[in-house]
Amino acid sequence: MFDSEFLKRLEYLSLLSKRVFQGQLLAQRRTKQTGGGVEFADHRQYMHGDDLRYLDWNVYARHGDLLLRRFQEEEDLHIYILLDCSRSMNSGQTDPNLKVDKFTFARQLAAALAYIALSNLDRVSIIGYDDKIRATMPLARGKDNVLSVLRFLEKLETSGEATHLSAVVGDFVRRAPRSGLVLVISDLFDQTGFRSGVDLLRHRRFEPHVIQVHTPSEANPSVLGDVELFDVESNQSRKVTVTEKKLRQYQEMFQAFLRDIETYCKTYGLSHTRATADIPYDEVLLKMMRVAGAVS
Amino acid sequence: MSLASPERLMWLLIAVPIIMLYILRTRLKRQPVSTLLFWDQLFDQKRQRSWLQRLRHWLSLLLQLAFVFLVIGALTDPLWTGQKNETRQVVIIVDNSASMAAVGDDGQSRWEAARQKALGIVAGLRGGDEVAVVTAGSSVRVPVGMTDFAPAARDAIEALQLTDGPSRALAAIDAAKRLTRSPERRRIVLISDGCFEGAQTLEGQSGVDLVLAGETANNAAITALAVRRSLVDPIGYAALVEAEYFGDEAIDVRVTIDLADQLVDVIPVKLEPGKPWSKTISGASADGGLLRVKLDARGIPDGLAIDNEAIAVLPSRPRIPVTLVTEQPSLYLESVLGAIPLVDLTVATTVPTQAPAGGFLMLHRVVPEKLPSGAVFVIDPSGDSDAWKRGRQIEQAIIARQDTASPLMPHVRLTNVMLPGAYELEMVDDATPLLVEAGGATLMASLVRGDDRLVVLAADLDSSDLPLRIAFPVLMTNAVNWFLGQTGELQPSLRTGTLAEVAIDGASASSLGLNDARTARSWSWRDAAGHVAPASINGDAAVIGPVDRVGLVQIGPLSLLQPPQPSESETARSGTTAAAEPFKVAVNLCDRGESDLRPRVEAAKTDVDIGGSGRRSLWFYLACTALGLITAEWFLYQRRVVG
Repeated sequence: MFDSEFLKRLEYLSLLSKRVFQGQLLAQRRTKQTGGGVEFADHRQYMHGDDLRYLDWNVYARHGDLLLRRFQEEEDLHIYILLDCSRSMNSGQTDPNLKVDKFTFARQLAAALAYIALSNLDRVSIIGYDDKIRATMPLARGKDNVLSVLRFLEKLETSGEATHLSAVVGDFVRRAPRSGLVLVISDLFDQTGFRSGVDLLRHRRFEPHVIQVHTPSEANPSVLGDVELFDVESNQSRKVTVTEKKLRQYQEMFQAFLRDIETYCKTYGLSHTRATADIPYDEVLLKMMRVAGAVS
Repeated sequence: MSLASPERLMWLLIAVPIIMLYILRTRLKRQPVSTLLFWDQLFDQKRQRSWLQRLRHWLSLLLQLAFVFLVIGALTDPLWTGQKNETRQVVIIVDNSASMAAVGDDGQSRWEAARQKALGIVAGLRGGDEVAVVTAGSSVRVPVGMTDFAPAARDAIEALQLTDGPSRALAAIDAAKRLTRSPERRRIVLISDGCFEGAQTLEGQSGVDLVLAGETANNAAITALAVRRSLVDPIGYAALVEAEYFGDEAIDVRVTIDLADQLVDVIPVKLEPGKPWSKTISGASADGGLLRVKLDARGIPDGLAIDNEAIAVLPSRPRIPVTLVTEQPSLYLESVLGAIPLVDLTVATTVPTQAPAGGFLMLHRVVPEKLPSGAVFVIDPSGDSDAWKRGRQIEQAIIARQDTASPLMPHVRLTNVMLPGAYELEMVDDATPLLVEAGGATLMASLVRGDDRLVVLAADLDSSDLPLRIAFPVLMTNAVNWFLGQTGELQPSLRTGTLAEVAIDGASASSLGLNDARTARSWSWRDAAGHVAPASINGDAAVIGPVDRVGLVQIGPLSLLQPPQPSESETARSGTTAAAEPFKVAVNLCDRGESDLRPRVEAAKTDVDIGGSGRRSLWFYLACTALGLITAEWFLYQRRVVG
């Protein structure tokens, strides 16, 4: 899925969290706790029984005070990748201008992000969902789990007749052992509204990152005339006559939809990345997400 | 209400594919999309009228089916109540005379305009109407009799040809009236330029509509060409040329005369409107040829070209070899034969085995054992021959009776003339007695045996005053003409559209086998356009016509008739004398009525409406409704606004 050069570049990246979460294991992320890290935090009075290795002998030599050096604890971060597996993600399979379809593109993004997290010794869990959680990869840590991540993503298939992010998030927050970073990769064509799901994540002190993917044909469809529009997700159809005027209205409506999501994310300080499937996923990671503040 | 063409209801089957296509049409192209989220918002307003949406395509189908039903209803030509009893018998008379070839200022000929009007009338016929097509040029013809099958009339009109003959409009109207059975249902439409005599009489006739084709035009024309032999010169001729301008102002033209492509004369002429110009041009030619008179009207308004030229055939005048066999010189005979123009007289003492070709043999008091073949004139035979027996001599023979019908006897009056010492003749075969004396004895007779011709006069010229009478040289001249069949005589030019009896000269009749009954049955004539028709033979004349085209007409056995040659002057030069060449006669228009291109009627229609019932046929309204429906269907369902 990835070439070695790209993987090398991924290893220099890390997923950014605007908040500090409490981890379980020692890792590369600072926590509120002080402990066995390498980065100096402050001093405290020596107490009987303290490890003499942490005494600051320089201070004792200058001032005669026995002060003990304290270091900031570095723990791991829980990163959850919510990957939209609804049938609407199947779009672009027949588009000759696209190298990969939308769902494959989303899985590539998820894999890359998981690799970044694993490289940073963070704990990664991937949840495939449509109107409910369809598949879950349990929290994994360390680069040894990269293959299992890829296998999990490889087995994922689109399914379901609807997308219901709020229901999925409700189930997810109950299952998640600890709050953390939640990367939502979806086209956001959520019939019942994705906002309530993202809001629930925020309220439960998760930090959501929205990665919106779509295909160019979804933004600028070329259909004209009398057609039967068939929703691949809900299996519903509409017999309509599409004129040039209607096409222009559609494009305007889609752009308004995109602007609406962007505005929502800005309002709540969420990082938001929008990518079309014709853009290489490495460019999305290395440029667009970096610009959006999702990775550093 | 009834249907004029109920069999066309089978076209209703076309509704089946329409319904099938509708079903196929409703199976729209399926376009998978990721979500209907936006499309639903986009079409949300129309969805508010969903009941109309459901009906939308059904209404389209209904409109299309209604269109089909209306079109087929129009095809079946439904008739209003009582309309069925109003079917008409329409006779379209198309004037295809020479004047219809005139071209107007707009470049369209009257003929094309007339045909278009005729086709328009046919197109406007209703189901049940009967139509006939009659032509009124040169001769009245009925290309299509009364029929209710309009396409036949349309094809016939498209196949009509223009003629160079005069208009026979009035005769055509009479023929049209005979074609229709019911006068009350009769409708006669004459499409003409109105350039014919009697056009004024049509203005008051009921049931006859004169539709004018073309506009008035000025025209210069040769209205007459008459050629005759000169009275004093056997090879001379005189041509009377008459020209006239049918216009408003005087014009200057040139009249060019040429004979056998050799220029004879050019005469500048000022033609005054309404004043014919005529002139007699004299000339001489033994070789003859085609005499052509042209009117050079370049640069002036001249609507018709065909009447700017007239032709006449001037036959050659061959020498006539005559051999006089006599044992003693005969002053009378030598003088009278020598006085006949073009006769080459040879005096001999021995009888040749046959008469000279193209001439005749005269035996004076000489009788051979066997008469020579060919033309032989025997005068005062000294004995019997295989053709006659000389009977008793009549001392005082008085001619009591003569055959006035014989071609040997025109202008010869010998009744009561005495022929002392004449002998009675007893002809062996059936001969024609020409002179009979009071006792009933034949003194002169003629005999035709195959190609041989024989005339016997059993009278002594020396003892009678016959040679001194004016009748004698006339008799000799008649004999020459009878033997040679009037070779070289002028044949007057014919006019198109007329039935003519053409006298065939002796040489041509002989070479073409006119006297052979079997050959004569195949005699035909071919006009300049190549049209061939049988000719009826009446004695030494052929009855031909009416000829539709100006130019040379060939007459003769069908096998000899040649297709028209590009240059007819050379063939015309030797046409009447050479063996195995058809006889030729010139045909001209020379018709003042046709050359005058100004209509004779004051008020005539330029178009005719044969709708009859005063309201349009029902099919028209059905077709209009169908058009409206299909337009609405297109506007509602098929219209696409792109861009």
